[in-house]
Formats: sequence, structure tokens, C-alpha cells
Amino acid sequence: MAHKKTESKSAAQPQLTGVVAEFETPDAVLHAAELVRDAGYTRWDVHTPFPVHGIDEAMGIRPTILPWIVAFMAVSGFTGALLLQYLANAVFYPFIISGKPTFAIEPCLPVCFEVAVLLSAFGAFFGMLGLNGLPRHANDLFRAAGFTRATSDRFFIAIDAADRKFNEAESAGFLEKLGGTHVQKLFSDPAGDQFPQVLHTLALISACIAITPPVIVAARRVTDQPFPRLHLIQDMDMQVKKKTQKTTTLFADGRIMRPAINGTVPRGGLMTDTRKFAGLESTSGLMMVADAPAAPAAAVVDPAVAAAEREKRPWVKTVPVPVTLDVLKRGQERYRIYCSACHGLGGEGDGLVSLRAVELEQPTWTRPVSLVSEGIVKQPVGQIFDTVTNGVRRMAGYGDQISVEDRWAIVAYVKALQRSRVAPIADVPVELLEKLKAEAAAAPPVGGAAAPAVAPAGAGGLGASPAPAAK
Amino acid sequence: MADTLDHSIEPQETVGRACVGLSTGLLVAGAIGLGLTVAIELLFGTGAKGFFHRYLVAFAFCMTITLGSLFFVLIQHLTKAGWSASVRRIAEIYTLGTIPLAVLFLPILVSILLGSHALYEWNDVEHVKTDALLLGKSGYLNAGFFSVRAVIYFLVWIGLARLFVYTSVRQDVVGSPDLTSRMEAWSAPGTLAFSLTASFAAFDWLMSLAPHWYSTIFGVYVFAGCLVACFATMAITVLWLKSKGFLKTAVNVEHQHDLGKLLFAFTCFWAYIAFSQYFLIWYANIPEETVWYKARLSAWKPVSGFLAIGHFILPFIFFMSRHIKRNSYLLGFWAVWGLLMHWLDLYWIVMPQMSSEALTFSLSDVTVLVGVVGIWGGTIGLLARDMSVLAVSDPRLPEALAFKNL
Repeated sequence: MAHKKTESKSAAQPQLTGVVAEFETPDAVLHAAELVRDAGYTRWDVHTPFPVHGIDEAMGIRPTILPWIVAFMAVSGFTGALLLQYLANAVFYPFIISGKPTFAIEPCLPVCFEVAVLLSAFGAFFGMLGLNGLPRHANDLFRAAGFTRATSDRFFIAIDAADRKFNEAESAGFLEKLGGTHVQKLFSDPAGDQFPQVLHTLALISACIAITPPVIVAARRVTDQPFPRLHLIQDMDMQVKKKTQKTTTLFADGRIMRPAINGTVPRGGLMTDTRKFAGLESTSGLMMVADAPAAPAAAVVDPAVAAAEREKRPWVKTVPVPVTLDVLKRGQERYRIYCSACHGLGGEGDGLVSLRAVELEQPTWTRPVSLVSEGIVKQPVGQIFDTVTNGVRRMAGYGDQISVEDRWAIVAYVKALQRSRVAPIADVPVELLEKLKAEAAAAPPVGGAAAPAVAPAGAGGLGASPAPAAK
Repeated sequence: MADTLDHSIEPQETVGRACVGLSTGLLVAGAIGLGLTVAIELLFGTGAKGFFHRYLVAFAFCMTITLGSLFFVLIQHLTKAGWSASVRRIAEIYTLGTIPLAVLFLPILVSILLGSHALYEWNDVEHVKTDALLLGKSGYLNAGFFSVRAVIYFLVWIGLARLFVYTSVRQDVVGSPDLTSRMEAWSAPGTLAFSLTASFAAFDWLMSLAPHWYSTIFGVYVFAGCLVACFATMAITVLWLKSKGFLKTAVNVEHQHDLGKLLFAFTCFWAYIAFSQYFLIWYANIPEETVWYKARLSAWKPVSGFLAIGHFILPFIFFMSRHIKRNSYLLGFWAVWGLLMHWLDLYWIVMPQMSSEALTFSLSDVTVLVGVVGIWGGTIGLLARDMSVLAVSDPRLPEALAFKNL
């Protein structure tokens, strides 16, 4: 509501800048304001300690244009945010993420909404300041005696000397006639109303300091540098630690990954039960892989000799963990995850990977054995367990991926698969038998597809009658 | 500041004098409307399915206005609002609608207890057995528990409505400010009971039309619609009463402005909630959730688009200005518009569940609306015929009369 804009005057000569009068009640100031308005003054203001109902009409103030500023800012924010998102998502980085279109209105709306609200708030705040001519660092009113009561219990009307109707003698008398008391003349500050020079200087220095970092950054970005960039904030990019498989000078052997200390066993690594952990009745006279010193590369054992030696080991003949239906189901599940890709769902060595490799005539491919073949049927379960754990021929060992219990579950399931090939029809549960008969009647059986379909039945049937491999 | 306006109130008028003959007329129109609807649906329509879905839309329309009014009354007491003392009686009278609505709910309730699944798929016992999802929800969605909940809702609502209306009406006579304190004390537990019952009623009656689908915000969505409907109805009622010469000094442009502001605010709130519901489902893109919108974005897509524009964008742009809210004619237009859009919103919630492939607009939508609104409005008029249209002895009435928007 500041109507005046004082021109700078010379410091030496205080000039009359207006008159101010004091009123005691809001009603009095409201009434006086109506008369000032009616007298035709345009550059004047009312100062009250709180909002007074009806003062806008009494002063003849037209409705503010602030809502339009806010509306403009809101529309700008909305469209700006929409445009930014459109450019970023659909033009500059058109990535398809979770099957969503590169541009859709839905995800943009919350951002548009937020930016519209933000810019509206800026528009309202800064627009209000601008329309009121704020901030001002000085006002001649502040030197009027008693004017500070405008913040507590008095009401003031001030008429600016720049008003065309202003007259030094008449205007003061006019306010007095309206009921104003303590009518005072306002003079420009004898010290001048210039903004203090020291603040100018300070602002300039602050601005220079503020733009220095961005200038340095900008300079670095556009020039070639022979040395690495300054890593001011380390974050977690650089940590005082070694990663796996790296060397160190800290230990004599240069390895950062430390082998277990002699005579210690890692938690959960005490594997004294050789039946369970190695599938062997005893390890006496055998050199276990884990204990083997790094063998010299030249000392390669003849594979045939090694295979013969392996056959003679004291493999356990029964599964050393309890075999229940749950264990068999677990074994079936693990088998299908880890083994079926090569060995096939029914164990016949017809897994998809193998079929594909054979179809492509891969020269290095060794066909996986049929787990239901006679050679494997005869193998002690300990040996099958060892194969799962350490691998054989070109098959990799799965000891690191599958827990001991799960390996035995797989072994039990393999034995169940073998059993299912020779199971008498009496082993099939009655209801399943009827279902199979009905299916067989409905559609003629098609080649190999029948075997995997029967496999779960074999596993289910084994739950009732003891598996050959079980204790 | 001393306001020098003359606050003397004109001799008070009762609802009975305000709507002479109107209540009876509404009841007759209601009976004819319902009869016509049954005839149209049975002869030309889709039978029970069509009738019950359209009936549910009209029922929900009156129910939301009534519940919005109940919430308005509760929240005025909860916040000890002064400005609203001059219009609160209007809302109080509308809360009496809970009584006819309890009767109007009987056709739905009885049909469900008789095993009809014209409305609710979950009431089809044979079908539920083959549907794992419905089977899992059957502990909640079954005819027995559904009925028990409905009875609880109506007991709570009728109880609250009677408590606040009759206490306020008694204050007209005895003039004791203690009655205001008593209503304020009841408003807090009342609001709690209202929010629970209103949310669950929305889940039961509207959301369970699509029993596989769920949206946790759905209760708030319907609640937002309740408030839009309530403020639109209040604004229309106030303007109508003033046009007949009632409430001349008690309700001035400031109160109309405030009703307009609240209508505008809850129109925006409705849009906010509607978009929040749609937005999360759009983003997650899970079939169980998108199915509800899929039914509304194929054949019903024009309706969905019109709802977004008509229920939000148009009022947001053209009902924002204070000059429009302070103009009786424009306020009246936007209030009627808001009510129409609210009806369309409910129609859009209910009808695609009956027919997602084709639009279902029909003459019986109008007749059933006339039927339900007639019986609802007529009964309210009869129940409130001796009540004043203004809470004349409310201790905050002077505050309301002196109230001004800055």
C-alpha cells in the first residue's frame, strides 16, 4: 500500500515529504480515510496495528492484481514442468521402463502440480513484495514521534507530499479537522536516504565469493586437465579396504583373502561325519580334495587310473539322512532346478541344454549319462553324492551351490527316479491309477513325453513304500 | 471493531411453511418414479440386474448427500465454528434423510438375504466356491455379515442424526448454550464413528460391486463425493429458501461465498483423491487393480473423460473466482452442476460393473432418481415440518451474522 516513491534529495537540505496524523480507534481512522479518499488524495496511506474490516473500500483501493500474478505463475509452473518432463522422457532419454510409454500424462501430473504450487507461492510472496514496493530500507515515518504505536494501539494516516493535492498548510489542517491528533510534518532524512555505501561493498564482495565456485567448476568442465579431477567429496567412492582376489603387502604370502588358520574350523564347517559330508564310510587312506596341497601342474594323474581308484572307495550304500516324503519333494524341486537342464526331468539325459548342444553338433559336448541307466543304478548313493558335490568328467561340482541336505535330497530323488522305471503297477496309488487310465483312454500316449509326467507319481508312491536307497 | 449492522432476525419460518405441499408432491413423484422404473426395467430393460444397479446409483446419490450433511454438522461442532451457525440447520435437516434411506435400503438388503446376486457377485454361493479370491473374502463378503454391518451403519447414522437435530431443535426453544457444549462433546466420538461407518459402507455397497478389486483409498473417494454433494445441496437449498423470502438477513453473501468456497475446495479434493487412486494403479499396472479402470477406459472412456473435465477441470477454472461464488445465480449454476457431476461419478462407479462393454444410459436412470429423491426428500420434509430453518438460539449465531470474508 505504499503509494510514494521518494526521490533522493540532497543530504544537506531536509525536504518536506508529507504529513501524518494519529487516530485512536479503527472507526475513527476508517471514517477519516473515507473523507481523505473523497477529498481526492491519491498518494496516502493508513497504518494500523491489525487488519481493519472495510479499510480497502474506505481508502478506495482497487482489487489487487496479485491473483492474476499467482494464476500466471501457476500456469507457467504447470506447463514448464510438463515440457521439462516431455523433453526429458520422450525426446532426450526415450527409455522404456516397466513397459510404460516414454511419455504419458499420468506420471507428469504430480510434478506439474508441485511446480505449479511452488511457483504460485513465489508469485504470491514476491508479487506481494513488489506491489507494495518492498523491501524499503528507510521511511521518513519512522522518525515521526509516537509512530511506533502503529504496531500496538494507534492508527495513522499519512499523506505524501508528492500528492498533487498536497499543500503544506492545508493538508495538515485537513487531517486535524478529521479528528487526527499529533499532526506532524515529515522531513527527508538529513543524513540522506541513500543506501549505505558499506552495504553496497559488502553485497558486491559476497556476490563475488558466491559465484567463485561455479566459475571454477565451469572452467574445469570446458578445459582439458592433465591431472585427475579434484575429488572434493569422497563419498564412498574411495574406501580404505581391499577387494576380493587382490594382493597386499600386509601378509607374507601377498594374498588379501586369508586361508583358514591351521587347527581352526569355520563356524558350521566341522565336517567330521564323513558319511554325511563325503558319502564315505571312512576317509582313512584317502587324500581328500580339501586337504590336497596345490599339486604341481605336471603331476596330472591318468584319468582312467583316477576313475578306477574312485570306484574302489568305501562309498556309503544308504542315504545317511532320514528320507521322508518331504525330503523327496525337496529333492524333486532341487533336481528340477539344478539337474534337469542337462539330465532331463526324468533323468534320461535328455535335458534341454543337452538336446540343443547335440542339435548344434557341439564338438566338445559330452552327453550327460542317463541317471536311470544300469551303471548309475548300481552305483552306491555315496558315489552319486560325490558326483553331485565334486562333479565328474565334464560335469561341474555343485557342492558350493547346494547344501549338504539338499544334495542328499537330490540323491534320494534320483534313486526314486530309478525305482520308478521298474516299479510294479501295484505301487501306483489307486486314484492316480484311475486318472492315468482315463488319460490314456482319452489320448494315445506320445513317446518320451510320458516319462516326466509319471515322475512325480513315482516320488509320491515312494513315500508309502521304502525307497531302495533309504535306510 | 464494532459492527453496526442490524442483526435482528425475521420471525422464524419452519420447514413446513417453506415447502407447503412440496413434501407430499415429492412422495407422490417418488412413488410414481419407482413404479415407472420397475415397469421400464422389467418390460424393456435388463430385469433385476438393471433395476438394482440403477436403484443403487440413486440410493447412493441421496445417501452421499445425507452423509455429507452429517459430516458437516459433526465438523462444525468439532471445530466450534462460528460462521456456519446460520446455515447449519439446513445440513441438520438433511441428516434426517438417514431415516428414509434406511427404508430405501431394504430392497437391496432383502434381495441379498434372499440370495439374489443381481448386484453383488459375491452373493452367488455356487460361483464363490469356484473362485479362490472370492472364497478368501467370503468371511467378510457374505449376506449375513453384510446385513449386520448395514444395520450397524444405519443405527450409528440415525443415532447421530437424531442426537444433533433434536438437540439443536430443542435449543431453539430453551435457548440453553449448554446444549451446544453437549453437541460439541458428542461431535468427536461422532466423527470417529462416522468416518469408520462411511468408509466401510463405501467398501460394502459400492466397492464390493467389483469383489475381486480393492482400493484402500476408495472410502475417502466416496467421502470426497459426499462433501461435494452436501455443499452443492446446501447452496441450492439456501438460494431456494432465500428466493422464497426465507433467511433474508440470517444468510448473507458471506455465507454463500463460504459454501461456494467449500464446494470448490471439495471439488478439488475429490479430484486429488480420484487421481491418487488412478495414479497408483496406473503406475503399479497390476492386473488385479487395473481391471476396475479397464472396465471404465474402453466403452466408458468418453464418460470417464467427461467426468474428469466436468467434475474437476471446468469448475476448477470457472468456479475459482470469488466474484462467481458471491453471485447467487452463478453459485446456483455451479452447485447444480456439481450435483449432476456427483450423480455421474456414482453412475460411473456402479454401472460399468453391470456392463463394461456398452453404455447403459436409459430413461429409467431418470425415473429411479426421481423415485428415490422424491421419497427421500418428501420424508425429510415431513419429518422436519415443524423445525425452524434457522438455529435461532445458537449462541454462535451473532458471530455468524457478523462474519465477513476478508
